[in-house]
Amino acid sequence: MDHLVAQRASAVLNVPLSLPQTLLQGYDTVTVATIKLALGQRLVISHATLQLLQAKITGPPVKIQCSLGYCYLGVYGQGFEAIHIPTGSPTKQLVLQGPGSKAWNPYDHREFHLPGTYEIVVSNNLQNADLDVVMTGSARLYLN
Amino acid sequence: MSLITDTELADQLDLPVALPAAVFKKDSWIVLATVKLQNPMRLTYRFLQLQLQSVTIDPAIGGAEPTIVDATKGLAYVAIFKNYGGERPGSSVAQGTNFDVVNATAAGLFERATSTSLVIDATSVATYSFVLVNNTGNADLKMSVCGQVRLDLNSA
Repeated sequence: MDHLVAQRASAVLNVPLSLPQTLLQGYDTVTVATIKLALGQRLVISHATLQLLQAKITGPPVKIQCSLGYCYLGVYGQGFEAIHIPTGSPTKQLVLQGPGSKAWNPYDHREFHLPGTYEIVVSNNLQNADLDVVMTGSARLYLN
Repeated sequence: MSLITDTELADQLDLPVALPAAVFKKDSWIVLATVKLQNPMRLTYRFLQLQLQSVTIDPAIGGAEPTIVDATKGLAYVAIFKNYGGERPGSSVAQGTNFDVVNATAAGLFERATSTSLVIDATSVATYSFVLVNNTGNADLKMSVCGQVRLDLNSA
């Protein structure tokens, strides 16, 4: 079993993923973090909690993507389209089907090795709803 | 000197409880962070600083001094709520209980004592929320928060 020395520990960073309570209107997406990964670096995304505090829906819910619930936390790889509504499915996602809270299973974490830019977003997947959401998490960046 | 292994380090996550400076209207509140705990996780809360940068009395309401909504707290505060549902903090309809309060009683920086830690072991699944409250009935407050909690994924 290897133990860490200070030099090794200093190359391991906790990157905050934080979205204090925010009102997302229909189809709104907010980028919580953008992380550019260089060759030899490793990104581990293990834990985040997403809570939907309140949903004000007018009529039956109209979703952009049927599989992504009312709102979701998603990790997108290179090529994420942030100007308009998100396209495609996230590489890793946390989906809420209604008010309440949900967390990623931290014992089933996802590692990213491929150099590129990763976007972590929270998205309102409904056209006709205003959602009050909050998200807290952490990503671990291994610099070498 | 004790050493830590790669696995132990991977099981420790630092989560932010933070807010850049923002103005909060009278009697308003916001959830800063939320953490869902389940066995065998452990949450350790030690560091939080609340800065109250300015107090502006709403001219439409008036008054020489800010009025306090919840008399047991200061002008503003950050508290932890267990299983919070977004209701008005301190009201009879608010779900959950609040504890470990950091109060701001005037303009300035207020901090949680770092000499003590609050340790929450997940005995059952629960969601803990950090809520920032403007506790005045007639003033807009400009505030910022900087804090951190440590999540141990495997406290067993």
